[in-house]
Amino acid sequence: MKILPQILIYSLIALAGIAISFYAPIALPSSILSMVLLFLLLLLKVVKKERIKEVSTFLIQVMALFFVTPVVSMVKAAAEAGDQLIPIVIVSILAMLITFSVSALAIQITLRIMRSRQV
Amino acid sequence: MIEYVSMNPFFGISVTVLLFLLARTIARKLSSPLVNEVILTAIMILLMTWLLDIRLDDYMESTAALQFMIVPATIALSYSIYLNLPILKKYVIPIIVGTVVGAMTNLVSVMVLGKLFGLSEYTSISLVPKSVTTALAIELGRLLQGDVSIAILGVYITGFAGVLLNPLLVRLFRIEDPVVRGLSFGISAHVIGTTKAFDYSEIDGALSSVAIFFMGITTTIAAVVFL
Repeated sequence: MKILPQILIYSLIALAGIAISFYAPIALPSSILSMVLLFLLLLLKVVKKERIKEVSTFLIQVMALFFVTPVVSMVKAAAEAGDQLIPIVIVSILAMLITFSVSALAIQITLRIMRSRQV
Repeated sequence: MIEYVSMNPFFGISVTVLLFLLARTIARKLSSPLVNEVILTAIMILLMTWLLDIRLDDYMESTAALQFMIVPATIALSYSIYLNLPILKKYVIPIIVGTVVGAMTNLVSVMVLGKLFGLSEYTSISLVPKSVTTALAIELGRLLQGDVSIAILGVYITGFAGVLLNPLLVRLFRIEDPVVRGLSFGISAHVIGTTKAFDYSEIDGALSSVAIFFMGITTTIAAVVFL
């Protein structure tokens, strides 16, 4: 269980994401690029999953804790949103329900087509 | 004394972890979708800052280290996706179809509903990242030159609405297939929705996690191309 090399891998991948986003022809967020980069490195077995197991497991297990502060700051944003707050809430909820329903339908249709072809 | 202590990172981390553990214990005991450990912690923190007369900005500053961890935690999503590689390979087509449709539906519905409910174009654009996970939403919000606070607000309203309302949709539409259910939770309500997806089954949770990963990518590309 070597923790330091695991931290180094994470830090380097985060850094690489920042570097790639700097040079990328279209602007893409660095954390997305880092996430995709780690996934590709795992797929290509450049980084073996055992080599980042402990740090990854820790990060995933405690992830919810890291979201506490944004939730607190969200309240501040909500207070500053004024009379836009209610439409923001309505739009967010309705769009979420539509997104859930439409994607559930699309996935169901896709699965039905795939399963009918298998038969 | 409290003013002196409240800006120290150890204060922020101690209080947040302590209240988070307390909230988690309460949430687990009550085991209701209405009780979310993250909201509960945030409410307790707000109460604490009010009771102890601590400035919210000081608390925020003292928890910078926790906020910093959102980026590595987001990168770690790749690890959990990789652990689900067999399931990803098996359902790669529905995953791609679902997240592409989900990203487009999210983008169009936010822009159309925003106009319908009188939101400015700036606010609507700020809400587009609402179906991706916080770390990605912050960066996407910046990229779209929107208001990052509104993006985060959208993310959390969406996440919590997903936890509370998606189970009703599951019952209404009688969705019994874990592939449809899990993916739709992750697509519509990111990490917070995924916590609920795990309540159904491990497969739901795994697929929901996979969906967050792809939804982050498809939403970013859709937003960059169409906005």
